Amino acid sequence: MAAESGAQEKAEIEKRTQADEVPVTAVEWLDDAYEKARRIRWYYEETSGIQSYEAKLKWKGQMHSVEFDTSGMIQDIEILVEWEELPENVRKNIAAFIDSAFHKHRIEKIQKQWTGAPSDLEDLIDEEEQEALNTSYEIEFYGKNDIHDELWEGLFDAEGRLLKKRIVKLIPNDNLNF
Amino acid sequence: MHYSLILNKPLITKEVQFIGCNLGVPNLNYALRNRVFELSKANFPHNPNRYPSFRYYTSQDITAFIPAISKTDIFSFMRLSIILLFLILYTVPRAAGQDFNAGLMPEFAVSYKWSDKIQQIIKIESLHEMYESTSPGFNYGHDQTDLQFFIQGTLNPFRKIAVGYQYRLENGSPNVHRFIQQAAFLQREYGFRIGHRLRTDQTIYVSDRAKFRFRYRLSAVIPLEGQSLDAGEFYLITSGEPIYSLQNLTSDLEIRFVGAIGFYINNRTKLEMGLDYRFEKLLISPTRQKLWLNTGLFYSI
Repeated sequence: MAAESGAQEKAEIEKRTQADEVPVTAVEWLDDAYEKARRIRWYYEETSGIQSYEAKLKWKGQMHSVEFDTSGMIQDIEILVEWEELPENVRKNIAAFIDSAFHKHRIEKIQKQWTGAPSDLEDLIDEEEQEALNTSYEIEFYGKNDIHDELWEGLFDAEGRLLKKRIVKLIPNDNLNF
Repeated sequence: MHYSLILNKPLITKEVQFIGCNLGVPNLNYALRNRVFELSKANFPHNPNRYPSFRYYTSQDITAFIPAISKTDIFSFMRLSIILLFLILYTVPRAAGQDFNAGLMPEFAVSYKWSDKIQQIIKIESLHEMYESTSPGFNYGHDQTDLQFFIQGTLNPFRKIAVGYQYRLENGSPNVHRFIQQAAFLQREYGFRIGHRLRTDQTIYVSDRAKFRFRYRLSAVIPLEGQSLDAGEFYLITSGEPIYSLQNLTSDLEIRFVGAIGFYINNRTKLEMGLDYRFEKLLISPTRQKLWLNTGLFYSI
């Protein structure tokens, strides 16, 4: 069953950090691409043992998060988008997958992911050029089927086809309930 | 599975000092210790000075590390607790003159998973009065201790229902029984979480009519270090809860506000400290106010 392939749990550390603790290359790339951006928040992250730095900022009304590796090389740009903003064929494919894999579901969060050469990613931000870049969609959704009843994070390609997915474990919230 | 606590005593280098203080493993071998060292270095590449002072790990799966709590974290938690204490001492004299009580409220909750969907929770909560407006000055008295037992069912990652029973040991009155039913919803927002809790309870008294209460609690958890709450980080937790009660055909209303600082030690343990302010008997005069310095420990087995 397609829904079971590549299911793995997500483990993450994310800590606030300061620009002076981030590799210089990363800070410089961000300054060049997002000129005059204000309130940039830096985070140190660890996902499944892979370390990275992430800058989060609001740019032209959208939430951007820019990920760098530990050498300061840009990995990707993620932009928070709404379901309606996705191209129609992408929506169709994503909906077809979720509908077939889960009998109960709800989309919680969508991030459009851009990857490519640092200079092309810079052009995306400061020139709004989308050349030579790859896109994918990271979607957090609740999905229930006969086996699973979980929160998921799925990565879909530019056409909206599922690449991989994993279970997102929420931290225990007994302090909110008792 | 064995858990070991590693404390800082000389072992490997001057910078990172470990000792295997074992609860289950008789002796850590050198390779294991070296791995601990490498992992702790890898965990904090951006700030090499922030090596952990102690951390937990499993002897079977050392790579599944729980992030460390640094000394700085513990010191800042202690500092915050002291600020809260001063705050309570400042508030008490100002509220004097009304029917006002203040004291300590320790609580301890342990949860145990029977299965993925069913959980059992045991909670002990007690109130210790330190101040009473009717007789000023330090006045210690044990007010009450509640022993609570809950069975919680998970409907989905965001919705849970629970039924419970509470036995209350009350100072100066016969002990009382209470039956509790609740539904809890989790709402996730960008950078914080909201919890809704709807609860009904029925209290059975020996010499009085039963009391029926309907309550709704709205809570928010705001991570203080980053957008999501991870192990070894602080958070702010705040809640408001109106409680409507009916006894002997008489209605009453109580409102509670809680503000606390929490420390998410690891995915099993949370520690919280804060203030719990209660406005009681709002429909039956004279009204009464209570302020508790609350300390809570939440642990899941």
